[in-house]
Amino acid sequence: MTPKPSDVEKTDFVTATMSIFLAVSPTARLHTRCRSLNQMDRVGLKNPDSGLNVPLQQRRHNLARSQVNSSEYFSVAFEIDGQDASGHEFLLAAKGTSLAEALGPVCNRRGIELSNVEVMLEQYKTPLPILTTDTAWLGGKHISLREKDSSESRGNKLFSHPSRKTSRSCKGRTSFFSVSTEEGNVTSDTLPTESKSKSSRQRWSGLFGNSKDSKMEMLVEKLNNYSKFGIPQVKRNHDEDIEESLYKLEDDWREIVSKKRVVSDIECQQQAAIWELVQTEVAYIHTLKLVTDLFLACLISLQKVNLLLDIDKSRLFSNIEEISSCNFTLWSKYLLPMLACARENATLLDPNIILEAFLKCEELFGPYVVYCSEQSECQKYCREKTGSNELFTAYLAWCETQKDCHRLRLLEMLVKPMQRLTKYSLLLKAILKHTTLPKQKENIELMIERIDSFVNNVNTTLKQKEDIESLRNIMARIESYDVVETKDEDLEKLIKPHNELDLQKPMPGCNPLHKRQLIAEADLKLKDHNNSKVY
Amino acid sequence: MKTHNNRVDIKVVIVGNMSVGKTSLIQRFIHENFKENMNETIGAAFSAKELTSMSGSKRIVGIWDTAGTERYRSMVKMFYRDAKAAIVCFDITNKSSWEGLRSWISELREVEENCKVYICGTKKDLVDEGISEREVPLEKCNEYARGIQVKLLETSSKTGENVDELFQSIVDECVLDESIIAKSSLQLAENDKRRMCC
Repeated sequence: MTPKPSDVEKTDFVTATMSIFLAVSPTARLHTRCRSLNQMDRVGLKNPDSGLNVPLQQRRHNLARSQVNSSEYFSVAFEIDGQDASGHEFLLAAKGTSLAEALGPVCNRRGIELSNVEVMLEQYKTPLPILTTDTAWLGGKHISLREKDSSESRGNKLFSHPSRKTSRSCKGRTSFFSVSTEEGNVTSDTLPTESKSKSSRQRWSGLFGNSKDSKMEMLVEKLNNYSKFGIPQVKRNHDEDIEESLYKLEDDWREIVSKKRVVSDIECQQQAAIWELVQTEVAYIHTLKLVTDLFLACLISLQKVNLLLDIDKSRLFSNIEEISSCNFTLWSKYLLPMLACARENATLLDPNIILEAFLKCEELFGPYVVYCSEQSECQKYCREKTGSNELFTAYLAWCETQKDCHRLRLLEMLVKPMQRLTKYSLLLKAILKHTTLPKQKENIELMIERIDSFVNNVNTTLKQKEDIESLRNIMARIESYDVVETKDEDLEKLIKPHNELDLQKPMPGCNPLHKRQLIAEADLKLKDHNNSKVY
Repeated sequence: MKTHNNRVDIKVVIVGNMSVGKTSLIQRFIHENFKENMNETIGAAFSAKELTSMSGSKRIVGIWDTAGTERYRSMVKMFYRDAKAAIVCFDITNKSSWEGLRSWISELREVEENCKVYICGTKKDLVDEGISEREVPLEKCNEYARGIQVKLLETSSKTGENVDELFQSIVDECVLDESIIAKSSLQLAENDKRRMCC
């Protein structure tokens, strides 16, 4: 690979922007920090030793009510070294309050860093995303806080975030912009806060144009706020129970089946294959939720305060929300009922229940056609903006460093739907391989046939798009010749449109459904007879 | 070049005809095991592992499994973007998988011209243990790989032979590339300085 100057420039640019927004943060950080400390004082002073640690406003609202229903609260246990494990906290579950916002004050008081812990719902294994989980559906539930690192040391080292290990001091909450925060904190102890922020502001205002500077500052402040209080969510029409079910999946299908039932080897393999479909679907829905609830919601909320207005949501995310809701439907209408049926009777999972989903996959997965065909444009758009827009780069960097992303970048998450769509067939084939009952076999074969033909359609749509693109390229390069030469301007105007070569037009003498396709492209050589020159 | 602490540094895509053992290769590399009659058809579509290069710097390798997309060539292309390296697999006991190799490589180069290509002949253990007949002679593979100047390795996901070596050489070469780019950017910067002095 030869180094291209553009690459070098790009790297330099990225480093430059990184250092710019790291440099800006001390001021912004200082503000937010002061505010959070004040808030903590307030909570601490006004509700001393109170078991209910809820933000002041909510508390007032709460006291005004005559009755307190237990289902409006959720309890939190701290399974962390050095913490009193028996001491449960009760927090208010309210619509529009994110988990981060609810847990923030409590953790602050206990000296726990939210970014260091995993939040688990009861005994289930999937951690809740703190920034995007609405506490409303947690009412009456029990959650526990667990140290993130301890679970990682057991299993995969893969997803450990080295940056987090250094921040065990548990002072405040380390924000995304923590590098410069440390400096800010140290000096602010010795200097009066005001003069510090003033001097640093002066220093930075000299470096860039005023408007950019203040916008970046605003963005940083906003993002820091999101880290503390969560991202405001767009209203969702998903059922809360179904959302909850996504965190409640058993570790293995054997936990569902009654101990008394004898499971043969072949049944075992079939169940494992079905379980894989279920398990990977849940993981996939979580990824989709991450894109919509973190990336998209964050962008929408930033645009509300006039930041990043130049970013076109639909060009970046295409119809990801529709994708998300079609997989939600697949889950709630087919997979969940299959699970529910097995759970109820403590029997095996029955693949017949999901037959209908794949029979009408054209309808169910309809949005995928649009999504896949727009994907390449979306990727291009994202890349373009990352290179040219430093606010966007900062926004992406913040989102991608959230722990729920597991090191995946937005671009990688955006291709997931394409990847997922092609896997259904593989998953179903694996189930088929271990299926013996004739009825089930027949059904699964049908499902495979339908999904294969659907994915084939998607692929054809993409192929056609590519073909049109290449034909357009050729058309742009071929100069049309003048069929009729005329001096008359009006006549020329009339003739001109007919002179252009349009390769997309139907071919003469052929069925209009047959389209031109690019078969080969190469240089054409002409040999001159007189002096045997080659052109 | 600065290393990012929390994201993938090197994106690697695994391509090749159906059932040449792409997913098994990844399974072996990531989890260091092998599953006969693999139940987990798809495993993770995306997985990552940290490797240390020859020069001692650490890199996170992100691996993209394209299993399931083989037939949908227009869709596979989407996964190539930004890939630093591609492992093109074929099954040494299956001639048609070797014949598919050429189209995979040309397609890759068309979409991501800077992507490094590695050819990987899979299921070596089947030949070594005499279970299956080798259909693609080693000399032929070597000749082809030399011709298009790419590295070729024969691996066995069952025994793990050459699997780590394959990924190790990817990391080594990518790190080497990074240092070349870093050096040339340094030179560029110096040149700029000189111009400014004049």
